[in-house]
Amino acid sequence: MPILASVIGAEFTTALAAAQQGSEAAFSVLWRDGNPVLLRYLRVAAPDAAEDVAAETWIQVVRGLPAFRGDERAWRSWLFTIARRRVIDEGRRRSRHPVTSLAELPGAQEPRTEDAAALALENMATAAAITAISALPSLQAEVILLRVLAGLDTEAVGKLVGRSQGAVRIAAHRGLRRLAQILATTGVTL
Amino acid sequence: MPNIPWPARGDVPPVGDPAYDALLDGTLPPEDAGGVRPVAEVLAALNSAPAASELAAEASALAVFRGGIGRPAAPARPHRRRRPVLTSLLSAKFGATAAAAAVTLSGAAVAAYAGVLPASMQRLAHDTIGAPSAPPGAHPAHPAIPVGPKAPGSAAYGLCTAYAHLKAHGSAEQKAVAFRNLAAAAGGAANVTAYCAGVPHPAATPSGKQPTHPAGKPATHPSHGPATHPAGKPATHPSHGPATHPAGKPATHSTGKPASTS
Repeated sequence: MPILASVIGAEFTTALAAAQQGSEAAFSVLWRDGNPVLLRYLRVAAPDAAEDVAAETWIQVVRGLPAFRGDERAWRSWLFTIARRRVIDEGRRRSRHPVTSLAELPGAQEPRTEDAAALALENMATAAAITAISALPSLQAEVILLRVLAGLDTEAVGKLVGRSQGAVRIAAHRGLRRLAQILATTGVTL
Repeated sequence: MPNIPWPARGDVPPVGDPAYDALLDGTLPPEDAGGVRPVAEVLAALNSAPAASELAAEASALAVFRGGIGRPAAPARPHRRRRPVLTSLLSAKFGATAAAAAVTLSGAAVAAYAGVLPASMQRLAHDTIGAPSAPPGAHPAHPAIPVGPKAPGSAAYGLCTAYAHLKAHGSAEQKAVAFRNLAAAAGGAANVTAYCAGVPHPAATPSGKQPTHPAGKPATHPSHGPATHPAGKPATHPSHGPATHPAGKPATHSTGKPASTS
């Protein structure tokens, strides 16, 4: 069960409306629900800049919050749409080359930052999971994270990554299969 | 990454297997996952309860929220600089911090920044840079910031005095947040000295310029601790004590410098 679904659920509509009216407590609910998920996604998508990209994402969210309309599914899609754009912008700033896929980001396969180490101390199983996902080809890693971590359905993921629903499903299956192979070979225990 | 020899294909389900769909839908828990149990466990670990480090930036995010709601998207300020913050920070060899910071260059963030300061400093910030105290639910008023880059109420004044104060009295994380915002406004860590030249030390600041505001933190700020989350955390977590920390951060939380690196 994705973290998001278990924490907000029916409370989302109320929290969103209150946050749009300026309620800090309501925004805090949305933030505490979304930020850990965002960070875990970014530890794979932009490992050396996860915290910064997350902060930049929330700045954009705050700017667009008054005009946002939608249910929780739309909210999650919006959050990750912004995050992906910020990841690409971050990649451009670093390399000064246009980045068209996550695979081009430096260090995309190795989340070896201080932040990852801090997470590892607090939650080794999650850190190990992120490391394992990071070993996958970028599209496979991304669709798995968006499906399982962000709780987005195949249609929403397809729109985010610019692929058909069928392609999303295939990429996710390939990723899970490769994950199974990696785990069987290296014997990762959580 | 080392070369990993793949096991025979028959060891794992093929693409298209319904077990994968169930894993992706979140309907196949590890205990029922049979041959794909290791994968199921990895996916379950992705969805563990939030760690303290993943919630540490909350005060900073709330500061952004306070400064952002009700304001136009991009206020034009004459001294605003649009430099790539991260490249300037990296090139200046600024010591890496794990603290997330709301890094913006807008005047709105300067006002919002007051929210991450300790209570004593918030009053100073309110009096000097005119940051709104933002009671819950209210739209923050536009602060009246006097003209002049180094005058009381300017971005430089607020950022420099806040950093000087936190350098002496703040936690490592508050100091890191303060420096990051300061470096962003200055256009790089190397420019901070010049940026703050001419700004008086906080001790010399005249106070009481405006009517005193109540301490800026609303009482509705949610407590920071495991109480609201499912009990998914290992027992070895340090317990978080929100009661003594005005910024809502656990007292024992250290960012960025874990003892073991991997």
